[in-house]
Amino acid sequence: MDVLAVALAETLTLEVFAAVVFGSLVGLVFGSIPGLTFSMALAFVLPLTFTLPTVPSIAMLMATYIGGMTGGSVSAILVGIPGTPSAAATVLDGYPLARQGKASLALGTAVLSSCFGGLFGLAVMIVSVDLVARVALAFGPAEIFALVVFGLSTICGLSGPSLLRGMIGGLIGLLVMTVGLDQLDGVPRMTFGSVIMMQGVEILVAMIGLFAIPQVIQTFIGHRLGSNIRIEPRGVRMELPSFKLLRDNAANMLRSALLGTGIGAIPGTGGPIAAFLAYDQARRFSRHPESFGKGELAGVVAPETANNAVTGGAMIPLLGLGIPGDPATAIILGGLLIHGVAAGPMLFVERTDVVYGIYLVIVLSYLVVVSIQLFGIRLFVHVLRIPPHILAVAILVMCVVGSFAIRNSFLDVYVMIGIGLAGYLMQRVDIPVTPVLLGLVLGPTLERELRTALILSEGSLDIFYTSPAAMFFFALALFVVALQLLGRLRAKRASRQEA
Amino acid sequence: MERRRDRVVGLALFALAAAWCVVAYATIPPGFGAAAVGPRDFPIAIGLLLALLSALLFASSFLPDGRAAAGGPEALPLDAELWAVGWTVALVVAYALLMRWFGFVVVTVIVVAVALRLVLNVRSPVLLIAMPLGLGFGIFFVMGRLMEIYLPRGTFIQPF
Repeated sequence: MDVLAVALAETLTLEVFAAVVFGSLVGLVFGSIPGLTFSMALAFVLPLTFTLPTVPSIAMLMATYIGGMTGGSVSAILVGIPGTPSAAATVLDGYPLARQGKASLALGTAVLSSCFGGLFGLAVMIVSVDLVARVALAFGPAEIFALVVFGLSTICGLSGPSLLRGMIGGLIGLLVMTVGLDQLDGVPRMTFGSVIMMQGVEILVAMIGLFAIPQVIQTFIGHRLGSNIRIEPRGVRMELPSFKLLRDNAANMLRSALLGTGIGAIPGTGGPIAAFLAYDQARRFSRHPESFGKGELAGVVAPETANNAVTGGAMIPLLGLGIPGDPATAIILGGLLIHGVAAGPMLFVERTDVVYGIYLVIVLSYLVVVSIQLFGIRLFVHVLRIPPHILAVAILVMCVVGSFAIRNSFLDVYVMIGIGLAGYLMQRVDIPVTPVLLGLVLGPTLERELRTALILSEGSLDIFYTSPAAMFFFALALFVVALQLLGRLRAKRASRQEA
Repeated sequence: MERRRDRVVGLALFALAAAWCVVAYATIPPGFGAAAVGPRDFPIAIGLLLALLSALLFASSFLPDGRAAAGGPEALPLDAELWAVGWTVALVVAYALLMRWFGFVVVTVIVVAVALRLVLNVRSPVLLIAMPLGLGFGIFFVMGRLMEIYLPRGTFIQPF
């Protein structure tokens, strides 16, 4: 209790509050602009923490991380371009909701779901950090590969009417991400002797191209034909989610939070896998799965809850074992080290005050981020009053700036337009874009973990079928695929009988 | 119409996948050490799977019920599509090329003005002046100065 009192005294200060507000704002801005990541936000904020005392500096870093993770939903919902890879699944239903004039409802739902997911992840961390850390540590390459295969099986549910086209899309995504330097052996692949091509395709660049360019092209076409739908100003209503809505989605939120926390605890996985898995599960458990993809609020609740539960889950290996799961948590780890805080098992024994301080800071960060976003919704929704063709020009500028800013590379801009063009062509021939995105996001992890597992087992497949966790995820993937195939066969039979 | 499109798409993807496999086999080394799966195995495996599924797509277009996707995207006038695609690509490529030489602010103002006037036929003088300047200087100030994100300064001239 004394330690908690000390932590409270150190955390509830004006300096910490100011650090949290600043970090949240920076994280939100970076997270909501496609092309800018919360890793960049953390890199921007890290030097500012050098001169601060320990607790405010940790507060600023945590708030930036949390703000960045929640900020991705803003552009995902308003303009259909995810600000972060973790928000890609939010586009599927968030953007259609915005087009129906329900942007504030979608944004408010996303914010509250994010808060719930984040606090749930924190609660799991507080209660079971040791146990979850040990389980997460038991996840080796074979288990992570199996988990990613399970993640890819959601392509079946996201393929739309044609499973074949969905699988083709997923394979295209997997193919694109093999370009560049091989992760394990460092040999150039499909670079055609170009040094610049060795940097490969950056996932954010591909995402910007896939989501934004087809939209811009379609807006230009609509403008030329006079068919662009403009949302009437009075159609942009200020509407926040009701308590009944949140209660109706309670099971969805709980399920998604559990998924997100579990996946976040595994180093090397992260928000996108959790978000898409949660979305797929929400659709599967819904009474109206056919409404997903057309503006279903549950399709916003699930990915946003999951991708923020990941933040709590990611803290488990970070604080409990000193293992960062991604570049963002690696920067946080660096920030902790600079202030003499060594993450790992002894942290919970020797610096309990810091641990409690981190818990309190996470709670404070979520409260601040929610407040800022709920207040900001009134301003954000005015973006929808802008005529679509004018907005398209601004989006085009931000696409170029965002693509360039990731690696200060003009090649990324050309790759962005190339992938965007391919994305538009794929839409025109009915190849869905979401499976392509899944392939892009999960491809590098899939290949890396498969090859690492086979190196460890010296080529033997034993490593997969002797792992209960791996076999469990493979079985789940098969189950998902079988369910989908059966469902499609039944639907086909039923439509034949009707005809 | 859809069957013919499926055949074209299936053939094109099959050709792409086949070319991919050939190039991957020819240019990527098999791997080092005792690794069972080397750097070229994954790209080739994905390429082979893509070739197989493309062939299935092509074949399915000949079946009586061969159109797997119901509906399909609406038909758009080809000239409008080519116009939109052409301008989008041209704007982005020109933006990137010119930005390298003349810097972010100048090129952003020019490209946005061109997009508004020539592509979208916007005539409002307020919009034609305010939006290019607002985007150019606004992004430069917020991202370049406040957020310290590097924006190209240009190699021929460096006005900012």
